[in-house]
Amino acid sequence: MTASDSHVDELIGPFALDAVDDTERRLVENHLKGCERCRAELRAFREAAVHLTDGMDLAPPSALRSSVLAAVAEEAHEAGETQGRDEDSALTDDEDSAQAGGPTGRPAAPKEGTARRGTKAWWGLAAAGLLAVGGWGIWQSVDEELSPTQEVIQADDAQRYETEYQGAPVTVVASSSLDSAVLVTDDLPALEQDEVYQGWWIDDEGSITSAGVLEGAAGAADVQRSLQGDPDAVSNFALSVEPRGGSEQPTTEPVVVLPLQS
Amino acid sequence: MGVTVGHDGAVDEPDAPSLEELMRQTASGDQRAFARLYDLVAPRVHGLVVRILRDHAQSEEVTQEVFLQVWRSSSSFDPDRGSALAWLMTLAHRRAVDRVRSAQAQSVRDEDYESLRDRPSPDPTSQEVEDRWQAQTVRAAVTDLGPPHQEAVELAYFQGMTHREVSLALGVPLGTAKTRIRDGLRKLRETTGGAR
Repeated sequence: MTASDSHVDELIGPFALDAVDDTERRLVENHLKGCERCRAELRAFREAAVHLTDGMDLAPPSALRSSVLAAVAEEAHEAGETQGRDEDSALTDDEDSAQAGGPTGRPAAPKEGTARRGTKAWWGLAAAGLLAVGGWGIWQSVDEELSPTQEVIQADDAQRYETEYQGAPVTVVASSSLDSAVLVTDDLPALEQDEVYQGWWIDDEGSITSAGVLEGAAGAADVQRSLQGDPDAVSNFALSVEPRGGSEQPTTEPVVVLPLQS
Repeated sequence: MGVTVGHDGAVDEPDAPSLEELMRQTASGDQRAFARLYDLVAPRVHGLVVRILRDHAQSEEVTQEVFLQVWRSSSSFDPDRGSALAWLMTLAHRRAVDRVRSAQAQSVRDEDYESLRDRPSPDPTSQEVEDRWQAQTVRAAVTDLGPPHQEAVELAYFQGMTHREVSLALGVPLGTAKTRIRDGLRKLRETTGGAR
């Protein structure tokens, strides 16, 4: 956090009405994690703001209702096959939102069965873990909204670290202000059925922690995955091939080691 | 929070479950509860989205996005942290404003902030709606705020302006715009009894 907290206080009103820019939004979100008073004020403001729309009801066309319910039925059907709904959009592949200049795109559209399906639940959990930091709940998830990977990639302080593995680009994008990182790859070499890529963080003392298992990343195009863990605390990112399900510690030599130096 | 179904005037059914209850059921995957939730809040959501975007086709897209997002993230709603209606409207507002800003980012990215005073004119087909809305909004809760606060809150909430843009539009210092928005919300909170 760079600005003083008292400064941030003044932004709670504008923040409640989304009248802040992306940098200010992050500032406020960080501040809220540790300030019960501002959380309470924000909550009261948001309740009050509901009244701004009193008397403004406008029924949408009935076709919209059918279309929303059909989309939901389809998602529910898919989710039934993957054990529960989750924030699938952590796996955003929405190019529009990447182009739009902000984490503002549409939610990831419900997809027909794809290779990504099996990975949804896992990375959804990982993303939920990242988003739940601070535990101030619903507003956090509303604000951070549907595209945590884009949030990181487009953060003002995003740092990119790039390398290649057998012709496939391997890029880690890390944001200190968000304490988050995203792995971006495209067409990683295919693996055996019972193998997965797993990401690792390595700190200065050589201690290694998992950054997550990249199920379904092998051979997949335009992969963007949220990584677990705080990129600020480490000095290298590594990728290794592990048995399906991942390992506590790497069991093979890394195929990629990417120094994270600013 | 006492803001529930009856509050938005959308239903009179005495036994209607609260929005909070419908959110809870939706989170557990209940599509009928979700449909009910849609019926209860879609008019308020859509009214806001149209008011902000002033374009029918885009508004319908955004309203649809909002409800898909409600479906996907209903499990993150926590009734201990606020009313379901506030949660829903926060989500709807954010999405509509995001849409306005990304459209602007494309059309006025490199232009002077001055240009933000002259928003692109609404599409002609929505002019009628727009007029109705203007009229309705003016008699809404926001009018009780008094001119300086009303103006600042309206520009932020309904035009999707940042406080910086509000300060430019009103020709007041940055700090003043922030303060007017905040004080406007405090007043609104008091007059609507929304403090609890």
